[in-house]
Amino acid sequence: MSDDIDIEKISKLARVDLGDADTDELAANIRDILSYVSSVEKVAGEAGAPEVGAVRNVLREDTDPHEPGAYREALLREAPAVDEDGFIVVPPIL
Amino acid sequence: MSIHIKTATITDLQSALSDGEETAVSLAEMYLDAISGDETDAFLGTYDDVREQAQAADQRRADGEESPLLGIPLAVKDNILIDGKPVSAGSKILEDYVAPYSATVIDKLQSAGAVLVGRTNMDEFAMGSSTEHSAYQTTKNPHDTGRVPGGSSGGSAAAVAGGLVPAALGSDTGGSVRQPASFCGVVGFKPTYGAVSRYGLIAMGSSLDQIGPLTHSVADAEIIHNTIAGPDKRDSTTYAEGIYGTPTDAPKTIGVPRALLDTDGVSTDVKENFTAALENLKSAGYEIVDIELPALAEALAMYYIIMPAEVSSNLARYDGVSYGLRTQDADLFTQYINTRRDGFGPEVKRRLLLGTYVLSAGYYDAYYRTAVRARQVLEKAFTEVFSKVDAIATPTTPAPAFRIGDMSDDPLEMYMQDVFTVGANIGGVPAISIPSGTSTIEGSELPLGLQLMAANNHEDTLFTIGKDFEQSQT
Repeated sequence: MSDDIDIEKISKLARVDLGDADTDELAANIRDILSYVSSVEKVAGEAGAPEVGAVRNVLREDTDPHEPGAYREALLREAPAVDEDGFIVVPPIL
Repeated sequence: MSIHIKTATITDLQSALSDGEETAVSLAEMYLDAISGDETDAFLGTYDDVREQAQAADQRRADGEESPLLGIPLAVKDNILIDGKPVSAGSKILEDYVAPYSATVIDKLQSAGAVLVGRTNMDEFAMGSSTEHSAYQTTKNPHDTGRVPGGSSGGSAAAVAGGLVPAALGSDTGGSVRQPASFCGVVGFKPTYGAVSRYGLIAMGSSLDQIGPLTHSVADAEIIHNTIAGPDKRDSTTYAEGIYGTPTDAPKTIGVPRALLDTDGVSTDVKENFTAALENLKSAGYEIVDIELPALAEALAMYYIIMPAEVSSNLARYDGVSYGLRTQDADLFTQYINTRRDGFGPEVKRRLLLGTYVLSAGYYDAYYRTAVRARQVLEKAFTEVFSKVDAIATPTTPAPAFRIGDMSDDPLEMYMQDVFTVGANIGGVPAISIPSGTSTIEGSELPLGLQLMAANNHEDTLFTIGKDFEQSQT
């Protein structure tokens, strides 16, 4: 089922340009890995109905908010481009 | 007592500190001196406030405070955030990044008075088993500088083994603490999933990642683990006390999944060393039994679906918009793909593609959902096995440290490094690697490791057996 690997399509989905990477070699790598991992089917067949684990993802209470802007400066310091009003500058979307 | 820097444990240093033979400042200077002469490239950088940290620790001691980590120098893997300090995850995409907050484990170490000396090299975003995938440098194994230290926490392992710090933090997603610990002859510990907060750890595979220590002794690993563990409201996957049971009796029985040892590529030296390790455990009073755990042999296959899937999702945040590297392009989409082209190395790109593929429409069921179901089978199998045995023993790695460059052509061969270690990450259980002797290859004495796994939240079982195993070798 993994014969049809379209590296160009996947790289677009992954939002990464592959530059001068050897796409044939990458496709071969991925095909090898997929052929290796396909053995999970053998084990998966024994699985029962999905169960919830002991560790639950939980939400905190929506209380005690921090002061507005408390982290603003520290976070904006890492931004590649910020304008004078403190907005992150990005190139046009279209 | 004088300090033997190559082997000094936290316990040794603590007694030198409390006897007044050393101060935190003198220890910090001693280790910084060792780091400046390092020929293994274990560190990506040291911090500029080490002396101040050490002075503060000495002041706290003068004020009457005592704690096992007070004044102890520690190194931190380059994917754990410390407020105001550079952190890059071994990647160009975060080359100039300065952490705007501290990880929970860092807050805890600082409260305990540890002196954080610097950040250690790693494979980019923790993807690799050798540090050869670091965007900056390849760390060398202190036992043979022509060989890799293992990875991804290879810098931390080499730093401890080389006597550059007495202990270090690493992170373990598929074996990234235990495999380099084994290659470098130190102890490496991966806690139960959810035992230690991941807040402030740069994410790789969020359902697998855990922070763990690399140390000279099991007792030291226990000290660090007990300092950094515990529920954290900033990581909702940390578990509260009482979720899992705790050991009731002293451990007695150790299971060996014999079938897994016959995996292709397990070296004869490793097999012989493992047999000898089991004899030592027997002489320490443990009963060794064979167990069947067929799902464990498929853990690596599950891992190479689940991990890249989580990687492709976690690394979506590196888009050049709000932090990190940004290329200058005319439109946003081109900026995304070019930033990631220039910022990520080949192994990261490979896993991004693989993860994107297994999650894409049409393949999600065949790969990702199937792997998640298989994972459930392994989790159940672990629970069942741990109702019969207290721990599972395997070698940590299929072979000792390989030569730099030996595995760079074939990613799958490198992935096989994790064959014994990934099971604990997929199953979520705690695991430890303890030095178990050496194998002599081409004139180099290369360390080997014994891995022990236990039931969820049974870290104490591992510390008990681990200490007995250390004793049995002396």
